Amino acid sequence: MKKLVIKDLHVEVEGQEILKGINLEVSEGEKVALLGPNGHGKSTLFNAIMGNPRYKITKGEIFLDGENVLEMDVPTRSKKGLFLCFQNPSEIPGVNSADFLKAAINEHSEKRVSLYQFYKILDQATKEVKIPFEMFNRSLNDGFSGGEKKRNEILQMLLLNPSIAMLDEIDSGLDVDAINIVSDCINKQFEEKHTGFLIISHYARLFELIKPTRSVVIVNGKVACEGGPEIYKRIDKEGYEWIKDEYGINIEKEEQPMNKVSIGVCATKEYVKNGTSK
Amino acid sequence: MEQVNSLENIISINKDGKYVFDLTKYNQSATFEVLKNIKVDLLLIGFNKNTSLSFNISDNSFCQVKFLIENEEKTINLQGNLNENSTFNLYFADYCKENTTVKSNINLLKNNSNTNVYFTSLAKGTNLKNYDISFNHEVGYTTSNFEGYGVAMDDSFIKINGVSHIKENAIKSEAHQKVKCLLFDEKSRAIANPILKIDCDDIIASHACAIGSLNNDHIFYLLSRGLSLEEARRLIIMGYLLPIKDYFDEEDKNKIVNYVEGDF
Ligand SMILES: Nc1ncnc2c1ncn2[C@@H]1O[C@H](COP(=O)(O)OP(=O)(O)O)[C@@H](O)[C@H]1O
Ligand SMILES: [Mg+2]
Repeated sequence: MKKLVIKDLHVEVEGQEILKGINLEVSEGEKVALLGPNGHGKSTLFNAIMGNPRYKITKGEIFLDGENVLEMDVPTRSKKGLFLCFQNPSEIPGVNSADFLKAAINEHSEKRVSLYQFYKILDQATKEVKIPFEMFNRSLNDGFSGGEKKRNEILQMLLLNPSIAMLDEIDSGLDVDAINIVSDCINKQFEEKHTGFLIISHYARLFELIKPTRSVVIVNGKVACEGGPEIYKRIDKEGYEWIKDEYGINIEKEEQPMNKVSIGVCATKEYVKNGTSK
Repeated sequence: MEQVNSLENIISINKDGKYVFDLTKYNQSATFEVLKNIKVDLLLIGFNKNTSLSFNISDNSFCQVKFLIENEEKTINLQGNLNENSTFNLYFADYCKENTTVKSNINLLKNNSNTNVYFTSLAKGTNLKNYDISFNHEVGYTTSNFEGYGVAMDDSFIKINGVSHIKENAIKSEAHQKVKCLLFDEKSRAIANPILKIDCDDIIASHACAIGSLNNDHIFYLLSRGLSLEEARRLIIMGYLLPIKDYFDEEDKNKIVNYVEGDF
């Protein structure tokens, strides 16, 4: 069983320290809800784990099954079983989706897949995420709606079958139907492949469908508290104020979300606004 | 070819079809008269250093011309005159190892004429690639589209001027320009000047221009799915250099794929 271990991780972005000593573990067969006010470093954590060069690790360690992740280049991290569903997936005009997916699958398999096998695999996956197969003749994410981009991320997760998947606001910008599609895919991946999940979301709706086994709250670039599902439920009801009161953590100003993709159709209320100290 | 009347360097075409012209036969200078109500597809070969071409497209005709630019240094001067309801499309696939200059001036003389100019240019070494593409919308209901993709490697330089002039009475006309250049190495350069001159209300015009090095976020996205850096770059560059192949016939398509794949 693979295990991702993060020890005392400090990360800088553009010279500013964002993560200030994160300790976190997640294993295959676990679903961890990752919460925290906007701008407190959740996406930074995922990017640092995946190896985005914009995010500079100044201190700490990351291990996957005992292997030092920080010594691996980005494609190796992917091939070792880490996967990141991006909060804002890139549109890459000119890069054909099918060519890209085929290259990615080939990198993840011992033998090159035949064109026939590839189309079979892709056809199956497009049905699961309910994106028309034809869209993969186009450029990568080019002209995809916000929701289609997110489902394309999930499709890639299904194709690459990671041991640890990090989902960054996979539900923002999705309507109720799409949230159901996405959570079905996540649940299936979990049940059949025992993938471990780290799931960032602001909405209890997704968590209710996925049923995380644990909750972790990041505040001011550190893990403020950890526990069972009761924590995400409480945050959904009360926001983050209680963390300040119970843990004596002064919550730094929350950033206004730069929601590039969200089109404001999320089905649940935006609890974050009320719950943070200003 | 019996459909073709060649009077010195005036070539008139009066039947639908696909034609190949070897320009060495015409001393690199020719005028093509595409007569009314026909649809032609021209492939020009045998370019030398300097070529001058002129096209007159008559009413209701469609003419597309494909240029596969290879080997030594080349200058192509081109003029197009479009009549009512005519379409004139130009495709330049520039994989020439040396300098290339293309100067094209297209006059949309009559209503409902339209033109598309599309080029892809790969510059290497100390190449200078110079594209001067202009359109004159003389009357209303005319459309021009200019799309260019360049990849500059090494110390090369790609220079693109696009001028779309919509004249006073050219109501309901449309002019679009879109240019993208990728700077592959530190010393590679590109300049694009998309200019819209508009002397008339009630038209639609747009220009978009993007010049830059490989986008780090794009690269990271591809790497995060397991692709190697080389493979990621290759996919992105293919996106600039390959799509034009779809306008060419099988043999040239293969040549284009070989030029591009051979390098990356
Ligand atoms: N690529 C980036 N460039 C500049 N600043 C960034 C970048 N990514 C994150 N940051 C900054 O780091 C902080 C944490 O951001 P982020 O990790 O995206 O927060 P969260 O995902 O918790 O909302 C913010 O102040 C944000 O502005
Ligand atoms: Mg975020």
